[in-house]
Amino acid sequence: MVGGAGALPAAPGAARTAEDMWNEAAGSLSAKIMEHLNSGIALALAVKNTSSLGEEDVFKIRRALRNQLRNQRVRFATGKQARADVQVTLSENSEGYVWIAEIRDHLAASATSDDVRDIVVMVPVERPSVDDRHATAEPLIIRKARIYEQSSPILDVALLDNAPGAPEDPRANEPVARRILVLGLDSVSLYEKTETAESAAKNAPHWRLAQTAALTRVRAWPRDARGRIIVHGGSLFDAYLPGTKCTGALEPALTLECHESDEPWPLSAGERGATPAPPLTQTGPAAYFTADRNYFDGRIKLDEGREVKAFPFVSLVVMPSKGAAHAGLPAPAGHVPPNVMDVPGWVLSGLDGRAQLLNSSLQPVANVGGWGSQIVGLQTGCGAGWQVLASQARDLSQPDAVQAYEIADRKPTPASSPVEFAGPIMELLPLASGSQALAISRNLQTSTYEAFRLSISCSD
Amino acid sequence: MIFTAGAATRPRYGGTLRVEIQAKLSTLDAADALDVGEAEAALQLYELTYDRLVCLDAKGQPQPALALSWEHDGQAAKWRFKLRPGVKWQDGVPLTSGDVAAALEGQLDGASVHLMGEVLEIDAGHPAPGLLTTLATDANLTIRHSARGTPPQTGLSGLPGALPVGTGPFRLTIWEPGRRAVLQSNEDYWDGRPYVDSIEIQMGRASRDELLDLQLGKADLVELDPVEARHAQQEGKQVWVSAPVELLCLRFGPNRPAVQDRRIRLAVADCIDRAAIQKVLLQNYGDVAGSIFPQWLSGYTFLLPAAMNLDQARQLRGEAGAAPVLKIGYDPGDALARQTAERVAVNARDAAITLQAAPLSNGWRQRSDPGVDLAVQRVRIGGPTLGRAVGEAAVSLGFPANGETGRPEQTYNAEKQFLDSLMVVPLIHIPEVFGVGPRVMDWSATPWGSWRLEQVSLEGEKP
Repeated sequence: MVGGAGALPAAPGAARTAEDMWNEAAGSLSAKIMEHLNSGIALALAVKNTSSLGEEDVFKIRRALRNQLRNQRVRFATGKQARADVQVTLSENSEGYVWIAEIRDHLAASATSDDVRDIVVMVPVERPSVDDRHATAEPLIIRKARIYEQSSPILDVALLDNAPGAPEDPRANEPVARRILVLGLDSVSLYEKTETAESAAKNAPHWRLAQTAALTRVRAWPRDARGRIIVHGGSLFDAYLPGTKCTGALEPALTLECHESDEPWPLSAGERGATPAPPLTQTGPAAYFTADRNYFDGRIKLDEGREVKAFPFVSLVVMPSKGAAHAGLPAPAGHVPPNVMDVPGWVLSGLDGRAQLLNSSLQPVANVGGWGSQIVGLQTGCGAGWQVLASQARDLSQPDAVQAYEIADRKPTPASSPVEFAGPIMELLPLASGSQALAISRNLQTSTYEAFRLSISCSD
Repeated sequence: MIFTAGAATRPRYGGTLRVEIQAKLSTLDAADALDVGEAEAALQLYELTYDRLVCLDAKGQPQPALALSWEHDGQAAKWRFKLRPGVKWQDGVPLTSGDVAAALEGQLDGASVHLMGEVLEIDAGHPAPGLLTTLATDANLTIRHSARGTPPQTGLSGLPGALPVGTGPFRLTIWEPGRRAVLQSNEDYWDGRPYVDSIEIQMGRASRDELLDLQLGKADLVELDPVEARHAQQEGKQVWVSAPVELLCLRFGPNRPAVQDRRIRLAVADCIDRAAIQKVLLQNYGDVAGSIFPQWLSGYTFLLPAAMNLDQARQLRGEAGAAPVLKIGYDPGDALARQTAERVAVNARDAAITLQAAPLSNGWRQRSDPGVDLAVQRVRIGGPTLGRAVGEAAVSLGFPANGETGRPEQTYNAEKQFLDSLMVVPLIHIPEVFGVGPRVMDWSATPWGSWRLEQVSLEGEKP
């Protein structure tokens, strides 16, 4: 009897599979049908689908209806043997499915008048959650595994407890997180993994909300607020939000404290999805976010405190030496002190919707067309060893896709087929392993936000 | 791979969205609107300017708005809403729980509203499982500053202090009744500042002129009639069509002696060629209707088919004996209603029924007898849930509503009985149709036609 909380657990109503729901609804409809027919009657049953249900579901529903009616001692017949005709239409409206049975009892019709109208009974049926699709591609394959979904926006998700020895996800060949920390618009929430029959069957984890900490906004945020959550030391974390930084702890209880801040946001993953490690002193480059908009202002703070300036950007990828060499960008000349991080190249998605390849001095050396705003770099060991995943250049009202590219001689070349999403990609963020990414998408069919882990497999 | 220059997933901020509508909005109060078009335009402005306790997502499911969460007792009679902290009116004054309570007090039929600290309690006094949908859709339940419902007076344009204030994504800053409205984005909106800086709405534009402006790049979003919409589609323009949200129907005058004989009403209903109306007048937009509620709301329209039966119409007409010339009325400001009345008159002639089409005088809606035997009427059946649609039909058509009419089976039984009386004859379920210009990114509207202009961004704007 409580509603309206922004978050739903992954796979709402996870204890019930679609088949459970079909059986339950078939039971209800059968009972309603039998309120108008005598037990033991011979009837002809026809099932017609005018809804968006697929053939497989219709087959299961037809079977469930027959079973339920048989349990009520109905005999099935055809033609003149049938004493009643029952036409079931699987329809739908804005709130869910509507299963409608039109019943014509021949005995009742002949006993009263020839013009006895059909009796109509209906049951409304809830729509089950939509399964995600998996895609394959050549020559590299992007594997997509849904981690979590909720009804309100997800800004970031940190995968916790990926300790060696944890059970492995057979598809991703990576340890599976036992807990996740979800950064939303109004809270940071800690979820623990639970096993259900459905989650096992769908190979999609089910999460139980363990703790949540409200997030106090210290200033107005832009419409499409963005954020980062960086876990360090195993149980401490920082959340970066527009004009705001929050510090928090996971133990002994989830806590969160927020204050106004213009600190730069780390571009690397921190420990999102990493094996617990001591606090890092070198976290990689960080960038300054424009607090009342949805982009970074172009200033990048390097590890040793030095600041460099690029164009304002939506997302930025730091190229490793190998990737830069393959892309035709020479390594910086001269001696590089060990405490100074020099980046041989960058890929930047700008505010004009175009991506650019930048050299170590952040000067553009090539334009890239056809990419969306969200890009992330992965070190995979496949192909050239390093790829960029990019969303597609579509608007927020359309389904999106993510495709892997290799950059050779300053030109990006598709390295995989696109993997489709049911809505726009809101973020692509690196996971700490460096070989996987987090994709956050808004599902246009279910109106939920979904977090996926993306990994690349070599096709051979 | 698609190469779309300049396109990107992440929206950009800035720019003015130019909207053109056909209605001449003379009032900001939907209840005072003269016709469906004006009422719908007023509701669109409400959605941009004001907030509600809860809103509906694209599937019609309640989502948090000014209320962060809610709970109810076992009977769903008492509801408690936890209010969102930190919300400000568009004039910068903090929204208090008292403001919300004051705005709702007296607006919920028979319900009492109490404050318990920052928690708002609504006691409906009876089971009210559909309360969330009511809160999310009833225009009277938007949260407005103090003098709620008071329309600004003519001549106050340019004086923001005199215009109504809400907590919604846009603030009305210029209001020229019947001509123009300008809305500025609310920088402090709790759900994030809209992407566009402002929206300029031109009113009273003819569909043909709107299409021209869209073609010339002078408008970004225009409301189109079917003929112009078809032209726009043929030219490759983006045309957005909502789910059917209006019912075009015939209503017989309950007190008119000439149509008291049910056989006459049935004969008129039987002779109408709805398919031709839908194909020709609506250019194949919308659906032929035999029911009050469209398929997307009810799921059962196939049980209530609309079939033309000219033989039966002739037979019924013959059985009814001598009949006078019937007068069929239409709203003179509604071209579709006029054309439909003329078509129905032509169809009726085939059944030896003489219908004389006549424009209705101003204010005919307020009169119990508009002076015609039957009238072509457009009514809003926009849902977005079946329960809500039943409420709309109850107000506009006198559809019998009881506590369970949100359920398909109960609604079907009530609808069947209602249609059997033949006082209302459904003709066509009509969608809203908009032309969307090439600058508009992330166009977003609910299936039932509510704009989500706070989600829209403009291509080519500087961030």
